[in-house]
Amino acid sequence: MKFPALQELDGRWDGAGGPILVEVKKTSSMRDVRDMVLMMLQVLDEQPKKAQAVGVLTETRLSETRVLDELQAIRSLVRPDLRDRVHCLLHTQDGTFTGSMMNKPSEFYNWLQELIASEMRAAGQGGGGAKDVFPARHAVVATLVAHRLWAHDPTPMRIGALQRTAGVSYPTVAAALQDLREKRLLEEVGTSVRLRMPEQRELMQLAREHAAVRTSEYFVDPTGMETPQRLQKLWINRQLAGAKSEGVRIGGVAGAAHHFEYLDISAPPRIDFSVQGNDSSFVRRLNAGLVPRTDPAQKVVLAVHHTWDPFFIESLNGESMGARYATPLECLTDLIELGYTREAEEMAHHMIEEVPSAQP
Amino acid sequence: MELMSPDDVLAQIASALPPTCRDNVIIVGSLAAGFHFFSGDPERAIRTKDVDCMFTPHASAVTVAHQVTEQLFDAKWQQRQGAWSTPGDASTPEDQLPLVRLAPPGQAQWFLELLGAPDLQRPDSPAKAMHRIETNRGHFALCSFRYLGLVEWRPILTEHGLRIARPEMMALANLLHHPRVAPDLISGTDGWKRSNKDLGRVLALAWLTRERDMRHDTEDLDRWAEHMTQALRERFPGEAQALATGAGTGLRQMLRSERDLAQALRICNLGLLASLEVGESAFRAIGEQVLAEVVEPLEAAFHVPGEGSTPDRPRPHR
Repeated sequence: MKFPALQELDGRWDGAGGPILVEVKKTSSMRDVRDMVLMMLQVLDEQPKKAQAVGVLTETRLSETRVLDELQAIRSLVRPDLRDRVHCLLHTQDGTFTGSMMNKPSEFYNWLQELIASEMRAAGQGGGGAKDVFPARHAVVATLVAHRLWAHDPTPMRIGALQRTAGVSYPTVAAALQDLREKRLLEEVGTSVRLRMPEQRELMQLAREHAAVRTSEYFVDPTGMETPQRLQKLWINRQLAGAKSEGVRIGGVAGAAHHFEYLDISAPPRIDFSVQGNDSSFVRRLNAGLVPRTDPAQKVVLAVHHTWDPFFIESLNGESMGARYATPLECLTDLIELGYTREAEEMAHHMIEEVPSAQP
Repeated sequence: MELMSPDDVLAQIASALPPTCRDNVIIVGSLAAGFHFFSGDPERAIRTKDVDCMFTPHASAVTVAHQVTEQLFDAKWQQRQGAWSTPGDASTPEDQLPLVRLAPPGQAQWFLELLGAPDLQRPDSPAKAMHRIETNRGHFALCSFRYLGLVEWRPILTEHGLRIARPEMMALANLLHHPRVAPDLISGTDGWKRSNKDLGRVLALAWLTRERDMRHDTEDLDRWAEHMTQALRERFPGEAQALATGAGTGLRQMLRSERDLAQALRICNLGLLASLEVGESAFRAIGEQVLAEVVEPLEAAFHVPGEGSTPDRPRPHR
């Protein structure tokens, strides 16, 4: 059996109790479970003592009892310092988890839900349906931009990791990278790649291209009483009260202000949300009276952008509040679309300047 | 009907009532809503002819209503003339007696209609009950509506010393009173359904609450469902779940019917929403908000796992 390297696992959660390495597998085979646990033990052996590993089974017909019995049997054969650090979780159809790792903070399980959705998309199983509404090739670009300009990670990404994160096929990744190569926006180190630090005008152009490929819905309020401020407050209050994010992030002026504190825009005309996939049913929970715009002259109070947002990066940069906000690229795109060109340029400049590796 | 200042009318009623009786009165209906939303704004007024005045609690309602009626007669208030205005006598069945409808001396613009708090101690209390009042001018009836018992929940004390019903309690009473859009018409109107008037009133109250929230930076409408839930638990402990589950059926039916909704809006624009010129799409929008932000949370608060989802969910975005 060939054991994978650490970076080829599906995900890594860095919590207060130490890192948790995650492998997601859709299987109903006990042999697969056994292989997965052994693989994770192998990886764990090279990790600090606080590290744990969990194999997550999705769409499985195996029972929790059977999986945990098998896990226990393997644990009894391995070194004591390893045995209690490997776990199995079963992801049920209603989106909950059962298994041997049920005592982690809720943020971990929320993150895990999104990791699973991402893996399902990568495997072509739908999930959020992002590929239906967002060109797969541009998901690669958005991922690389987020990796470089939000996670501030100068480490080039392995092609496989890029493919999994963007949730696209290898040919799509290859085609997207070729585009970037031709624009001289790609840096390659062996089989790993990263976005070359763009200049301000290049970042603005990337945002304009992002605007051109995403789809948007615009909502108006027939009562004329709704405000973006109230909608934002409602959304945040609901998140604070524990509502699921549903892959929805605040973008627009509010999101841009989150990333760029010097943004000089007061009283934005609308609130923007970026959504992973094509579901905008959350709008009804904010204000069921809003209706889609039918005339460009109507005043929009809420916009939903169906896009690709590599949320996984939240866990890389440890920015828990980031869970509520769309990526800087998304927010930058919103500013341009709203006509705040000068402010967008300032934000683009800030994004580039903030990246440590950009300094000479 | 002429436009009236809710401040002026409430002040006039307060001064006419014996001070000892004021604590037993809750103003409900258009005047209560008008005072709550428009008080202090000379630009805003209401159109109504009947001012509903409920005596509470149930145990003393008839006694106090009798005392007030005698005093108002003595102060030259006049029983409103028209059908069902002649007092009865001891031989008149209670359901044939006229209600006490008294207009202040020298004006016919509006009249005070006396109501009684319902007897909620009796689980089988009827939706509508009549109680005899024997006065020196003859026999009248004090009418009580079962769901109007909700307005006894935390009424708002005004600077005039009179209490007014909370808008959300009037809305809930109307929702419960109309589990469907019934064909019953309002007498003297051109085919106006009573259900459309009362369910439309729910939307008008929600509209005015949202408007007030925006003006004062408050979140009153967001708390309607919570208040309704508490009130149902306190006022109707034995049947709160059943009432909550059915509270939205009539409103949903009205929102599905373009004709009923349009009629409800027309009635509201002649009353509480007069001068606001609310359009049909805006009226529908507030209706969808009431369903999502009030009715559904109310249903959910009483939802018992395993008993199925609440019926007749509204459709998603059009």
